[in-house]
Amino acid sequence: MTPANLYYCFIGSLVGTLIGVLPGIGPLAALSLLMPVTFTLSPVASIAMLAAMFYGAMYGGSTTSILVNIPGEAASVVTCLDGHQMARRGRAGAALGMAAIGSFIAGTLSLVALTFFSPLLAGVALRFGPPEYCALMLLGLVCTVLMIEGSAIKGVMMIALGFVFASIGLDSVNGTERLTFGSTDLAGGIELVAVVIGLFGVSEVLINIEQLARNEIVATRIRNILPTVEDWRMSWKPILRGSGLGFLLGVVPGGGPVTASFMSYALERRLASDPGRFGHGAIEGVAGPESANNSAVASGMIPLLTLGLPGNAVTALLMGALVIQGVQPGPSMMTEHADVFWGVIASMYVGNVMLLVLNLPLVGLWVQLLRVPYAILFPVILLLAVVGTYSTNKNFFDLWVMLAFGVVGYVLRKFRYEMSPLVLALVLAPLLEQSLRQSLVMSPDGFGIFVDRPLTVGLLALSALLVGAVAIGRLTRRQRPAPLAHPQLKET
Amino acid sequence: MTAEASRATAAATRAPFAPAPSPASRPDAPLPPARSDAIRIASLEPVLDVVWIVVGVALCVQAWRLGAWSANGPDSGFVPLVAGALIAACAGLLVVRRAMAPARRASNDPDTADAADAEPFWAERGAWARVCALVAGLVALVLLVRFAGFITASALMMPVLTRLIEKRSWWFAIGIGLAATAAVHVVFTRLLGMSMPRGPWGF
Repeated sequence: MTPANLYYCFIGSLVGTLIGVLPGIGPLAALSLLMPVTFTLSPVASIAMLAAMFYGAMYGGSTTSILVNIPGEAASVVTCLDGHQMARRGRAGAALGMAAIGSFIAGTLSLVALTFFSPLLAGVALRFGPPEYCALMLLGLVCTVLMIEGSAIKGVMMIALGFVFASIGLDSVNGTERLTFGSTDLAGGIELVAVVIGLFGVSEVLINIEQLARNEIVATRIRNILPTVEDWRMSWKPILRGSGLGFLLGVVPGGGPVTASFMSYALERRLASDPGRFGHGAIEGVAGPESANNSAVASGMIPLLTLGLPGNAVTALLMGALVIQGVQPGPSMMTEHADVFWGVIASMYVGNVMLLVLNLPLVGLWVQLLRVPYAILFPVILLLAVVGTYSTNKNFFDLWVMLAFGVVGYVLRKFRYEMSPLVLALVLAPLLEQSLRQSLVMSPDGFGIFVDRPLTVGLLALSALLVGAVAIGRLTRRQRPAPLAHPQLKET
Repeated sequence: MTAEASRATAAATRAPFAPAPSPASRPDAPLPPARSDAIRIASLEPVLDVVWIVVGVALCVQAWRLGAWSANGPDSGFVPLVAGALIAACAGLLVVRRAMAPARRASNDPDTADAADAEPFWAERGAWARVCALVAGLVALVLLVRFAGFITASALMMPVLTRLIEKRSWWFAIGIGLAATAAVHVVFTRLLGMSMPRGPWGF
């Protein structure tokens, strides 16, 4: 960790907390807007800053949840339920403090597990060939669809759409133009940065300007941010459970902080001796989910760094950033780019400490930022979108791509289509197609190669099993409406 | 409609977890009135499904022309063909499920719950105008960036957009627009060295 990397880690932590606190911009939108800024940095500094922004947003998101009853980002939705009630009872400080400290403990535990688990997984992944990677990416896409709380059919359509957009341009194998319609601009493919800025940045502004409500802040002066002994007695087990649950759900493709926070809340409510307290200011309802979402952020880096497989839209963005920097994530990363691998992990340890320092003593500052009207935010966001998009390739066509995807993203989100599967598919599609074609080239009997190799068979069987299990489950019970699929809730 | 009914309707159409817009928090903005004339999302879903089917079929046709399979395995059109077929099939499935299972409309099935979803496409009166104004403004911004440079384009368009969206005074809009332009220019182009297009005036 050089001083420069520490500096960028700090900047990322600060900006991330700001993003989490400010309503109107989510972590995905901010990461997509600010990703081009990191292209001039070293790979370690770039990923350190982006990762710090992401888990900083997890920390900051709880502030708006607790004080305003508006989740700063999707993973903080459940924190609204009990955190805001604690604030209404004059315990905003304890809620904020427990959210920050729980996040720190969970993040640290998850990072320790990441440190020891990653080399083991990378060792296994070295035995992976194209068929295994193909099956693994298929499993990742299946998990992504199954984790969607809204319509799975719409999720599959978004994945298919991501594959379509990834196909635009030249075929990497034989150089044939695909879906370019004679356009020389499209022959170069669609720029990922322009797509994500449009889908998450511009579309979010379009959705937010529909309703210009003002926020009612419950507490403007925060006192007693350190939890009491009684608070600790009630929270230490939820923090540990949240850490473990978040770690597991972060590793699984398609999981992540949002799923982890929801499941942690459900778990704590089920285990509580008095479940009736939940929804009325139960501190376990803050400690568990906030720990889970931060733990999932750290463990989400495991499949990305060791397998080269992003599990959610954020890690897909991080993967895009790494590839642009010339670093291919995967099992060989530990040998070919060991400095980047361990530098990123070290930065996350440091960033976790920085965030605890930023979030506890400076909570009063963040409270004042909640008053920033959207009239000031949205021009800055739009200008950032233009700057970020154009600066990637100095190509005006990318600005039109950004605008088009902004409108498309807005319309699709209104109809409750989730954008994360689209981005994940956009990033994975070239790798999946390449793996599939390589597998079939090296196979003497066509698709038979996928049933000749035990690892591949296992992964494909797992995909089939998950699809079967969830299909049976959905046929036999009703789905609850998904707050995640609501267009005004920012995706993570 | 009474004020209480208006607030109840606003609550029903508000985003989940949003705070109740009490008069104390919105002293100068009326609550959005109930809108019986609003276009419902449910009425537009079938249209979107038909669009998806057309897109999916068009993709399949285009991919078939590229060639889906060769002696060496999947060809250039393989992935677009599979993706197009998936899109068309899924959209068809949505249409069929909505048409053949009226009972699902009363349930919380996310694939067909839209039929029972009374949520309007635009919850507030005037929301469509703001969205359209912003899109038009962004189109103008992108065109101006190319021909007039980033600083000129943003200094011109940001006040206009702020005024259109926020309905505040022109002085406020100009102040915010110019401040945003200056802040982004200083931080991202000067400090971080990200270059943006210059106009015929050299900036």
